[in-house]
Amino acid sequence: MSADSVVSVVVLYPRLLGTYGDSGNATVLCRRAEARGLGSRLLTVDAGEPIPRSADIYVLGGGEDVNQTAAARGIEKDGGLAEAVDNGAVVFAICAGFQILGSPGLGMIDVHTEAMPTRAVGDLVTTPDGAELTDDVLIGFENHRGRTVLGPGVRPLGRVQRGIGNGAGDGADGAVSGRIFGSYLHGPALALNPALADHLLTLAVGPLPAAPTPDDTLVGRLRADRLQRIGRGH
Amino acid sequence: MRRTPRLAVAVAAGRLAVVLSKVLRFGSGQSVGGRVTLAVDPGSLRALAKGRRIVLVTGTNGKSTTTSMLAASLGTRVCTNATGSNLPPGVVAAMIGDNSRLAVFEVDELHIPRVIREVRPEAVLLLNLSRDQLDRMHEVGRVVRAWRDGLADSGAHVIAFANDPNVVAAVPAGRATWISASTMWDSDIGACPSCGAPLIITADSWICGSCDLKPPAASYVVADGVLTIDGVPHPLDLALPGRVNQTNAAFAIAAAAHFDVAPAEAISRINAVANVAGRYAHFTVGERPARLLLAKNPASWVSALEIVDPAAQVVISINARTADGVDTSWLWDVEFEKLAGREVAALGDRRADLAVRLDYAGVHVRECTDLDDAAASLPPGPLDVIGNYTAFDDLRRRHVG
Ligand SMILES: [Zn+2]
Repeated sequence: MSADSVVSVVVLYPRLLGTYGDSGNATVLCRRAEARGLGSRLLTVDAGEPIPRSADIYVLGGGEDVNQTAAARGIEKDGGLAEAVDNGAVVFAICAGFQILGSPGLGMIDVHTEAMPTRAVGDLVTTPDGAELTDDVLIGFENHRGRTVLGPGVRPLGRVQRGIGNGAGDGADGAVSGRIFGSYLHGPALALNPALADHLLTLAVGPLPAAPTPDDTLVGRLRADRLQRIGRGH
Repeated sequence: MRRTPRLAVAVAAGRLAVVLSKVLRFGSGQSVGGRVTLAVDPGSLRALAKGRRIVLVTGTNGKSTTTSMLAASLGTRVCTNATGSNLPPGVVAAMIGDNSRLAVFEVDELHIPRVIREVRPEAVLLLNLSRDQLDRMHEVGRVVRAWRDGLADSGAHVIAFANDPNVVAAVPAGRATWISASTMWDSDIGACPSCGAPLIITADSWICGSCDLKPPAASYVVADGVLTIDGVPHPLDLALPGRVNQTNAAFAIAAAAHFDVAPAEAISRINAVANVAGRYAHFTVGERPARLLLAKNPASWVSALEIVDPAAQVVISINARTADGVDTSWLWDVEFEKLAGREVAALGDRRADLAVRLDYAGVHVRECTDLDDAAASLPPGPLDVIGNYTAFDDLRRRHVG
């Protein structure tokens, strides 16, 4: 890619899907692109506004039940997200945003979610399932009542070390299906897991320039602090 | 108040617990006393409330301040839980120590239905409702339902915030005095809390396109430091800073009117309220003048960032203990970008979380061990020191007293 590339990131329906600071994921993507000398464009699209068809990355966050239903209805009616995915866009969806991409919902990925009898609230630590993710662990916080079963067409984003994740008994958290990524990690996930953020940027715009790079001293300290705090120790 | 033998024993046990806990230095011991009393007599909350005229104050933000303002505005002795212990034991503790006939209590959002049922308040103030401690509250919608159920079988008069759809949806029809002000946090305005359709949001209002939920006409309107009551303007001159405290004052004035206190009288008493359990307290760190602010969730941060002195150096302390909510992701819902380019010291148990958030917001962040360290490390100037719930409390105890 060339240095004048601009990464465009859409935050989808933050009023409906943004309960746990998840729009921070878009901030992190933009800042990390800029730290490498790339341009970034952050677009916030609320329900009722047209969803752009040609952005690079779409982020969706967590939301309460009524909001989740309203969001799914709006996204389906607009049709822009499905079209963007067909055009090769990257999608990163957390919690309710993840659930609505499957069924019941938009049917864009092969996952099915139903209500769990108890709510999963607490730290969530997973081991990334794909070799392309260079962080040894993915860290976040989960707060949901969904039990998500993965279909044959998807693989997990991570294997749960600590916490509940998808809660379907297979030890999985989240799902990866082509360029669509879902997870129960909030925190927001990309602030806590910079390698995952960079992986999404790479998928969106190609190999990232080797220099300059973001200074990850603070996030390195935060990851160590969090892991120690939740008793995994290092 | 006539007391049953069991209640008398319960109250005596509660008082003893307060004394012991003070002697043994477990803090003020207030809510310990309430817990012991409730354990001995589970009916004590109801029994101690009997014969009193009670107002309850709830909402995500402004409970303590509004409670203090209302207690001050009544101009007489008032039983209140001014220490901020707003769970049932805290309310019981306040009543053990004070037989005043008038009582004003702040109550936690999720405990309000039970407290309404037991103390039978004359009035309930619903200040606002937005995301806070979601690991405990789970969902804003759950709190809306709890409020609606709690108010449904109570005869209490409701004084409520007309701009907040979550509040409006919780109030039974035809039962409220409505307060209106410019809202500053609207990110929890998503789907209609009554019917689930997306709300239509305009520059300064909202309406449901599907059911009839919309902001009700308010009889108390706050704008630019003036409170207009049924068309008559009353200028406010509060000792406390920020637009948010003008709204809190409007609630207190409306509630005082319910007790026949004239607005002018209530306003002059409320203007004089200068600090509420350390909020906005002025103190010094070494030689440096400092001011202490509480901001514990995204909505209260909107107000805090508005109040921060552009000439001051900013210190922020963040904890994530049980009372704060143990999840720190809410820091990303705060527009710390407003501090971009400034030097900010990060303190507290979770300063690593805060530092990453501030860094991404373009703030020059310095992680510091405590406030003295921060004061030594920041450029000269007064300090605006902002903490979330337990971080604020630690700072207040250590530096303000
Ligand atoms: Zn509606």
